[in-house]
Amino acid sequence: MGASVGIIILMLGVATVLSFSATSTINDQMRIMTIFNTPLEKAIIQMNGLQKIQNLTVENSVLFYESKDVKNFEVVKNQFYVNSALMTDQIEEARNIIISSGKTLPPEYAKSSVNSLSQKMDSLDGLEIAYLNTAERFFKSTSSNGTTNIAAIANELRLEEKLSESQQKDILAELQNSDKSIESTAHANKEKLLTLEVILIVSVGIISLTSSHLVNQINKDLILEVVKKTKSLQKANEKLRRLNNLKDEFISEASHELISPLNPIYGFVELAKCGDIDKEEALTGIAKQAHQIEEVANKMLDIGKIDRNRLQLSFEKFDLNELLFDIVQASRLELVKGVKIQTRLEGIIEVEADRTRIGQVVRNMINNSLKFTSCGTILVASSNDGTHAEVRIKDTGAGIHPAMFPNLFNKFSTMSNNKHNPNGNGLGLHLSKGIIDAHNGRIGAFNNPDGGATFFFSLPKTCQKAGVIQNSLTT
Amino acid sequence: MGLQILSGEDNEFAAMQYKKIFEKYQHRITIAKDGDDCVATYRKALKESADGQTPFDIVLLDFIMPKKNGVRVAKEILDMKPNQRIIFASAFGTGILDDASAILKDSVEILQKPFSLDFLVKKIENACTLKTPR
Repeated sequence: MGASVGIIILMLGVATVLSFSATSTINDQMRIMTIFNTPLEKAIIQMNGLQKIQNLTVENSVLFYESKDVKNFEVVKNQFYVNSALMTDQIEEARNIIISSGKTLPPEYAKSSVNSLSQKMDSLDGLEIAYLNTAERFFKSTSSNGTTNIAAIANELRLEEKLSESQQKDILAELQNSDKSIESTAHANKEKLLTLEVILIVSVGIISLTSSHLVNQINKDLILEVVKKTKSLQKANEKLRRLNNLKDEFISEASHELISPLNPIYGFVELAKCGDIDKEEALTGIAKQAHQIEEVANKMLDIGKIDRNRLQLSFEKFDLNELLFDIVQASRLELVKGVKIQTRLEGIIEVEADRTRIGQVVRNMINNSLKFTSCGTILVASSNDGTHAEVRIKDTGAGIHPAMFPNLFNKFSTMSNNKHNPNGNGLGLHLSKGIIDAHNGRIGAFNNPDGGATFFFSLPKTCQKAGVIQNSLTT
Repeated sequence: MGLQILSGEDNEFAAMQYKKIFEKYQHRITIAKDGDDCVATYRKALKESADGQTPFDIVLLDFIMPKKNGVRVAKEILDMKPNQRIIFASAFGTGILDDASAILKDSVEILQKPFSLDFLVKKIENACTLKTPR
């Protein structure tokens, strides 16, 4: 845009300079015409007229001399001298015009035309002097009564008249040529200027139109870009608002999880004090509730570590099947009626991983299945393809609600979908994903065709440290 | 005569304690371990109640319960028996409890956890004595 305005201003500037220069050229030409050519032409025409009268007086003098008409001869003679004085004045005036005006003319004109005219005028002056001398001789001869050379001198005079006239014509022709040339140059200049100005105006117009079109296009693009950005900001804002709501809910529900076990603790104390239950039972209960609080708090701390990419893994080699078996055995102790846990664990699957963390993932998954399975079977199975070990926990429970799938492993996912989720603090699966990601493994879930859901994870069998811990908040 | 109480409580220890304390005061308490169980137990008891009266004097619920949350359970129970007295016992902050009480009927009361068992018994006994059943 700035460049276009610059070009337009530059072109207008060029147009102004051109018209100024053309005007100045035309002015020069006009000046040549008015102060030089025209007065000079007038002078030459007058000289020509005087010359013709001179010619006539010479012819009359010859006639009156031959007819011995002394009286008329004297009249004509006097006329000749008067005309000669006029002629000399006219030549002087013409020379003055050439000298004085010639100085003020443009140098290129002064060089060519003025010099040439000045020379021609000198030569005309010389011719006139010679002519006057001859005339002097002519009139002297007539008074000395000599008869022989009168006709010869008269012929000489006639020749010199012709030379003068020819010189005058020559000067006049040169001046007229100069007039024509000046006129045609002025005309050509006018045309050139007009053409250039038309070109400039059209160019400025085209540039202006193009610029305005470009500016419009840029504006349109900008508007589109702004609309796009606004939409994406609105989306981001919406996402943040949703996350913020989820976080609020999460905090509220996490506090609930932490406070909930306190009630039974107070209850045990109260009942034990009144002797409604024995102290041993109360203490065992209190210990279990305290453990539950600890578990929730630990999970929250782990989530914090995962979100800050600070989850430390302690790699060791162990038998994955043995770990699974131990966890299943422990879980079986707390099974409700109607629910069974089966295993399909073959041989030894040695993996290099963080045993405690992997145990945590398995417990989370089994607990998750137990929450959704009021009666039926939970199958814990492992497999091994040489490089990776996979664990599957398949239940016959309610399955996963389709609305839950996109955020299943995200933090707060449970909280955001209370109506689809019977229990849980929304941390277990997020934590499990963080742990498996940190092992460079894969975690997932799907609904079984015959009912219930399957959760699975796979791990590289050998240690792959420096795993990137995914931050689900950003997904 | 003791009160008939239905409690939705998924914490087995809390459930055990409710049983102990209410029975100590000669009340009968039925424990449901989740929201679904709570609604089912209520429906069954309502069917069995010959006179069409509310089958329980008080239903004690938590907002967060497995399978079906407390608010949904309360709504379903109130759909069956609009004059059923319900008390929520929850560890939620008071702000959330206030919001919840605004959307629930005035036959619903809210207790904030933690509270003593004795306080719970007194609260329930008072609620049933002072307020005239509708």
